[in-house]
Order: sequence, then structure tokens, then C-alpha cells
Amino acid sequence: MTGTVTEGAVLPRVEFDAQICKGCGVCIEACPEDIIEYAGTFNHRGVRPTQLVPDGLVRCSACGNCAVVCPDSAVTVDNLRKHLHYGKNALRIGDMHYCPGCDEGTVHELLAEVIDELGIKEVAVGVASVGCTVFAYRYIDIDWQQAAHGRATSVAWGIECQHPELRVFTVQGDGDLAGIGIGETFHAAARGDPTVIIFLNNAIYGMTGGQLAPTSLMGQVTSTSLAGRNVKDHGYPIVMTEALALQEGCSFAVRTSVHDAPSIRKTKKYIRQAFLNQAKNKSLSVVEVVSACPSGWRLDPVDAHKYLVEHLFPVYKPGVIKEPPGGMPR
Amino acid sequence: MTAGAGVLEATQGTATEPAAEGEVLLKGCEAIAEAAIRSGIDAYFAYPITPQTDIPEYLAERLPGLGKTYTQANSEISAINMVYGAAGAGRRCMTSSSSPGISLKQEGISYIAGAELPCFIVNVMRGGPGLGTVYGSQEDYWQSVKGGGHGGYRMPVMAPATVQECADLTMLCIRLADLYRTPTLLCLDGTLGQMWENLRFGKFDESGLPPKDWATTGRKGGRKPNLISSIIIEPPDLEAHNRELHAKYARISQREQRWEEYQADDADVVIVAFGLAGRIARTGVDLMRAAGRKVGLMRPISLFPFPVDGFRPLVNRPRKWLVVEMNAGQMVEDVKTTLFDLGRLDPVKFYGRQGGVIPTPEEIADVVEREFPKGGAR
Ligand SMILES: Cc1ncc(C[n+]2csc(CCOP(=O)(O)OP(=O)(O)O)c2C)c(N)n1
Ligand code: SF4
Ligand code: SF4
Repeated sequence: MTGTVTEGAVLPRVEFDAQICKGCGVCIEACPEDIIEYAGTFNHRGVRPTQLVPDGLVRCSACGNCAVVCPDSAVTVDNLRKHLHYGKNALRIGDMHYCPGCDEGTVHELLAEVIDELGIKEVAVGVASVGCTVFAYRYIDIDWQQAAHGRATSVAWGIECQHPELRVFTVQGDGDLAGIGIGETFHAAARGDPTVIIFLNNAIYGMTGGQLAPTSLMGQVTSTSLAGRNVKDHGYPIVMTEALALQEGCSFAVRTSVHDAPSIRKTKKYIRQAFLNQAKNKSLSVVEVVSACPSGWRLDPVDAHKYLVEHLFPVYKPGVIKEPPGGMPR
Repeated sequence: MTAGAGVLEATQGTATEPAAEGEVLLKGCEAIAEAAIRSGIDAYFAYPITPQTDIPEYLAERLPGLGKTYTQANSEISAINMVYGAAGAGRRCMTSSSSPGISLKQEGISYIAGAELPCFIVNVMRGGPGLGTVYGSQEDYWQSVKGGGHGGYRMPVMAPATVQECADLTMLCIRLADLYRTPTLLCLDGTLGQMWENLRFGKFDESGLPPKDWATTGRKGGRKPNLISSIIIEPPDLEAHNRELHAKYARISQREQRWEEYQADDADVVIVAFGLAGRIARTGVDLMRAAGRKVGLMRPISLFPFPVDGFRPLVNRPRKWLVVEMNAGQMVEDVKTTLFDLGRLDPVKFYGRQGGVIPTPEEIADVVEREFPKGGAR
């Protein structure tokens, strides 16, 4: 579908890539005009991709929400009147291996946009961890290192101490950062490493199939806590970002999410601020993204986002946890 | 030769044997640290453990003044992963530890081998298993040469017997790391690490080292992205990668064998021993020769690659072999395999002391006498 000029009204250009679409349905949920539906046919992935309803374009407000929320960057929206573009960033490469509706994909798109917009792609180096983000390097077109489970911040320091001009960030799950790697994480904060940590907290071990994580909620059913997490057998969930923020060497700490278009826009701002803080304060910046793992949680992607708001937010409260000295970076 | 700062000058010529021109008096650990500096290491990542702590202390004093990195990590695991990061970013780096700490590093070493990163590791061995003792031992032979970590990788392992060799083999290990894009290991027992001897530093050989154009230094000038990784999920791809790794190990095996042969040519009994045990056995050989026995020494210096070529000239006739180690018998397996592969079924005996106990030359001579009595049947 392309934009056309009809009697003074410029229609937007909205494109759904039926090959990339994983049929998660979060774009349907995000559309304020209710003009997105599943197609009647299946794509090569065996899912029904989404599309605009017949004549949907005339009701489209070109808000870009569907493009913003799509974890796989399958949607492009051009607001031709305001010259706004929503869709895949040039640095965001490749088809992602994530499950339908996984928030980890959305975060990659944001990272690609921020790195591109800040003009730091020639100095940005990512550190992928062990977890579902193990292949993060496939999706952002910069230099990467893939670190052992839990050791991403140590690898990051190895790079930074040798090349202070590089802008190093890690992408880590909660098992990685708060479980096996909790020592490394705290010491990165204690040293005040100039790393940007993107902490994807989905309260579960996603990659290994949905086992109890240090961050799993009380009562949460996982494949290794079949009756739900209880104190006697599993202890309490670890709340990491507040604890990191207590360390002198951590100058910026926020908790956010990407479960809807407004929160995605806010998260992008935070990631941008983290990179600005990295340049300014040369100490640790932590962006915790409370993320949905529909597969691990055994929930449909849209329901997973509802679960996230209802159950994870009370324990992992979104908001700025530590402002850098001199206020939020701009 | 210009002496380094502090430690070096203070100790020059204070030995009971005064240092000759150009010589310095250093402990084994200090010689390693100084040789690493002279080999141009950019970064060293540490965690304290006896008996190797002289290395981090020496480097903590020297590296910052040279504009190089010294980081004391929160654990050996963290230290080896800092090595991964810094080596992946194209820098010459090093870590050191003693047995339990080296155990902790094994996952990281496997990643480094898989991702083909150059780095230099030192194990100043202590007695084990477990926390064991801080006294010197050779109980980590298997761990050092048979992979240690998972996944069937190999890496060059060098075993010095003198403080001079501590320095020389440090320079060699750092060179081989860059030459073959591999971790390299210097493996010595705690006693040698603490031993003072005069030595002379050689010059680091930079010739022919390949450029590190694979390093993650940022896509400056828009070059293609570089990736440091050891995950290759598709079996045929991983098999192809592993075949390349093992072809590299074969090249290393062909080119990098090192050994010392001492009076073995006409010997009826050849002692095989590495590191400090080899040095003691050498004195034992002198004792036995003085007593009229034809005994010689074969001292592997490279433990991987095992110096098979050093054995070749010695299999021209039947001999008796005694392997002496400061462990319960580890290298002896490689000696047996080597002799078998070279077509010999000579008797191979083993003598070992464990847990930090060091054998004496007299003890070794007694063992030779006991196992292979003079005039006994061949
Ligand atoms: C040393 C080690 N232990 C365990 C594993 C297995 N493992 C792979 S991913 C993973 C869990 C990752 O969970 P998390 O960090 O929360 O990331 P997610 O997959 O949820 O994104 C585990 C335990 C491993 N690869 N290495
Ligand atoms: S959000 Fe993307 S992947 Fe999900 S249904 Fe919509 S277009 Fe398809
Ligand atoms: S398992 Fe969970 S975290 Fe991993 S890709 Fe699937 S939805 Fe995402």
C-alpha cells in the first residue's frame, strides 16, 4: 500500500512485510484505530501475518505505533504529511531468531536507532552475553564480542581499558547479570566502568526453556518451580538495579519496559541518555528493561505484556532510579 | 642492558654469585613479569594467589608507569574474561594464577581458544587436589596439556626449569600467542617461582607477527564489522572450524617442539622429567655418571606440543626409561605413547613425589638403581 494524494489529504505509506512477520499480534494491540488484522493466508513461518484491514489506510493516523512495537521491524510507516518515518533502522540487520513477540527484538531496534542517531557506530562495540541475546551481534551492524555466561561486564572492561575511545555496551539477561554473573556486575559498578548495561529482565531463563531465575517472582510457575516460586525452596527475587545504583561507580540507573509504544519511546530516550552519560561521566549506566518472554512464561505475546504490567511492575517498578550528577543527560 | 625500575636495580649483583655483566638476579616469578613487560604486554589482569603473587605485585608496580593496564579483578574468572575482551580488542595481554585459580579460568581459556585470541597465561603450580598446599608441585600437567577446559582445544604449554628459562619461555609464549592466535601457557612449579637466580634478558622477537585486523576496535572508516565469538551453532560449520583449529595445532606440533637432551646419546637409562623435576634429575644424572652408570636425561620443555622429535634419535636401540614427576604420574602416559608410536616397547618406570614434596638427586639415583639394577637383565 502506498500513500496517495486524494483531494488534498495525503495518506500515509504503511507496509507490512509478510515474510518477516511472526504473527505475534502486538501491532494489532498497539493500533489506536483498530485497522490491523491477521491475513487469511499463512507465510513461510507457518503463521498468519498481519495486514491493514480493507480501506484501513484512510483511517490511519500515521502514528507509527505498529512500526514502533513490532519486535521484528516488519512494519514501516511513512507519515508523508509530517515527513516522519517509522521502521527498521539502517544499522538493524538480519532476521532475528527471537520468538514471536519477544521484547528482546524491540530493544535491538532501539539500540540500533540510538547508535545511529548519536553517530557512534564507528566506535560502538557491543558485548553479547549468553542467553537469548547470544546472537545480538547478528542484528546490529557494528563490532561485537560474544562473552561467556555472566562475564559480559568483564569482557567489556577488557575492551574499554585498552580503547577508552570506544563506546562499549553489554546486552544481558537476568540469569546472566543477576545469577551467574552477579559478582562481575557488581564489580563493574564498583570499578565505575564506563559501560552501558542493557539489562533485559524477563524474570526467567529464556534460552534454556523457562527455568526459575534469580529474578522470578514469588509464586511464578516455571519449569523448575512447578508449584510456583516459594521462599523455602527458592528464596526471594533479586532486585538488581537499585542495588547497583547504590554503588558510587554507577552514575545512571533506570528501569523501563517496551510493552507498548509509549514505553518503547521512553526506553529509547533512556538508552540514549545512558550513552550520553557514558561519554560525560565515564562510569556505569544501567538500563533495566523489564521484558516479556512469551515462550518462557507460556503466554500469548499480548497476554505476556499484560502479565508484565500486572505482575512484574509491582516488584520491578519502572522509573529513574539514579540520576547522574548534574541531572539527566540531554 | 638497562635495568628496569625499583626491584631490578635493587637486586642487581646482590647474589652470593655476583651477577656477571648484563645479568640480573631475580625470582622466577619476577623474571616472568619482567620478561612480559619486555615483550610489550599492554594489559595484565590479576587475582592474588600463592605462590604466584610476586607476578601481580611486580606488574602492579611497573605497568601503570609504562602507561599499561594493571587490573585486579574480582576473581580469576573475571580476570580471564577481561583477557578475552582486551585480547579481542587486539591488545597483547596476560593473566597468571596458581592451580585453583587456573581451574576457575578454564571456561574462559576454552572460549579464548575457540575464538582464536592470543594471550599469555602463567600457572605457578601448587599441590592439589582442592586447596592442597602452596608448595610447588607438577600436579597440573594433565590440566595444562590435555585441554583443561572443555571442547578438545590445545594450546602451547612451556615448562621452564631455570629462572633464565622463565624469562626466555615467557617471551616465546607471548610470541607464539600472536603468531598462532592462541592462548599459551607457561607452567612451572611454585618452587621455581620463588627461586632466585641470575639471568640475562633476551630481546622479544616481533618479526613475522600477523596484523590483528580481526580485532574489535570499532568500525572506523566504515570497515566491515569484526566479531569475536566462539559460538558456531550449525554442526557442519563447527566441524569445519574445529578442523581448522586442529590443523593449526598440527602446525604447532610440527614447528614448536622444544626439549633438552643431556647425556642421553649413549645412556642405557634415560630419565624423562620436566620443569624442576628435570633440573633435579639432571643433577642425578651427574651423580650416576660419576658413579659409572650410563644415565641420561630427556627434558621436555614444550609439554604441548610433546617433543616427540626429541625422542626420535633415542629410539635407535633398546633403552630403559624412568619418568620422574612431582605428581602421581601424568606425563608418563605421553612418554609411553610416544615410545610406542616410535615403535619401541622399552620398559618405562615411573617415580613421583606429590603434595609439594620435592625429590632429591640422590633419591632419583636410588630409584634408577632399584628399578634398573646395574648389570641387571636388559
Ligand atoms: C556456564 C554456563 N552455564 C549455563 C549455561 C546455560 N545457559 C544458557 S542461557 C542460560 C540462561 C540465560 O537466561 P537469561 O540470562 O535470563 O537470558 P534469557 O535467555 O532469558 O534472555 C543458561 C543457564 C551456559 N551457556 N553456560
Ligand atoms: S508486530 Fe510485527 S511480527 Fe508481530 S504481528 Fe505485527 S507485524 Fe507481525
Ligand atoms: S525464549 Fe523468551 S526471551 Fe528468548 S526469544 Fe523466546 S520469548 Fe524471547
